[in-house]
Amino acid sequence: MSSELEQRLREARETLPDPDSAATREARSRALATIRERRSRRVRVAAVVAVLVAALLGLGLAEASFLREPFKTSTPTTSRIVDRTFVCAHGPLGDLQEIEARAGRGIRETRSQWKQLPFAVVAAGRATSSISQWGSLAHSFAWITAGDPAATTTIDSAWRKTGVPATLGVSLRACKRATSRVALSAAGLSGGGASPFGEEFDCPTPRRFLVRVRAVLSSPASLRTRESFLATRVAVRDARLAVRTLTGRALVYAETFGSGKTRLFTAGGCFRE
Amino acid sequence: MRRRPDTELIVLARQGSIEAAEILFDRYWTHAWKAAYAVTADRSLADDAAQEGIEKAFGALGRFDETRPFAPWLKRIVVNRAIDHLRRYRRVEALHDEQRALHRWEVGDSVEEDLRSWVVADAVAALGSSKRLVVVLHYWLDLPLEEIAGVLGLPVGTVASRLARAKAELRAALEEDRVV
Repeated sequence: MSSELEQRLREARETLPDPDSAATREARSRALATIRERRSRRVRVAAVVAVLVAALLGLGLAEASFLREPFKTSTPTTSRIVDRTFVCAHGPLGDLQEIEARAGRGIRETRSQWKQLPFAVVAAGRATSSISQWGSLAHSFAWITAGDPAATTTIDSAWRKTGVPATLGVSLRACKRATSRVALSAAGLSGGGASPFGEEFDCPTPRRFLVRVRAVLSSPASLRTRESFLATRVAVRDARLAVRTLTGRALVYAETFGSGKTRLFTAGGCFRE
Repeated sequence: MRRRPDTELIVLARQGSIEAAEILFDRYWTHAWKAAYAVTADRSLADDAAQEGIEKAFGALGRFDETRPFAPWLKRIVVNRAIDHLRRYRRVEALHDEQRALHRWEVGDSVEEDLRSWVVADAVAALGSSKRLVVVLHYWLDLPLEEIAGVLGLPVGTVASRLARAKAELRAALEEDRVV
């Protein structure tokens, strides 16, 4: 009996699902990047050895161009996967220690054109203005969208302007890169699908908190500095955004999909605007 | 085409060969991810744990003893990462619903066997997380009890008794479903 149970247990492992293609692409790119880094280290070491040998042979250190310029590290690579984690602080965007999580389902103008992109924004909890081209996004810590915007497409129901300045962005004023791990999971949060008219929640947070943005772009791109944001204009296929405290407590989780669907989940301490 | 041995690929990848690293990745990624998923029962956590595990393994190829098999070494790294993630996010109990089922949802050619295995996988998923972990580590990931005790930081006796209780629970559930 026991051996039959053990046999059934071993057979059942064959039913485990497979990884999805986005996770596979990302893992491949991260794994290969470590090999590239290893190769560039070897090249750098070889270059240093070559320079030292040249110097010892009397060729003259001044001619060793490697020593006049810093060694180039790997050039920024473009990728269809953007996966960055940041530690963000309230100070630069306001002193109110709460974040505003806004999200809305996409609205189609025509079959192939969006009136409003599916979006999710995490912004400073303060009144928004639309003086700059960034509109309400000017006070955002980060935002994600999905879909290909046209010239007249909008995002974020708090913003009445047309045009999408960036399909994904993170504030460089308020956020810095972090190596902490932030799970992209709605576990422990409540919420669900966002309506086209938008959902808005205020969530109290500590002064500093973690934000992770992960997106699959429609074509390879690297994030660029645009005014005070690290952003891209390349269309996003689907994206996820998670906010956690530095101790790992989940605050907000949002997902946007190319189909137009958006899901927003918030912690128990958040309240609907 | 000749299947290039892992040892050869590891030596080349250490020297910076992207092609060798790609072959190694393709050969082991799915296994690594499934191991992470078996432990976490959560796609996001499995993505993170498997990605970090394979990245860490590739970064540590210089320290890997290529006379030993690569797969168990990678699996141990991934399993450790997955357990770290589980602990960090305090997933005490795996939810038992369509989102969190341990098995895939497509049937293969042998429908009856698949369905029977689904029942077993569902019964495993329904165990408490501490019992589920030892079952998954022992029967799905083939770790001996001593190694499970090591990764979970428990005495071997505790692991053995937890496994015995889990099997008793599974036997009762599967007898009810007439699977064993």
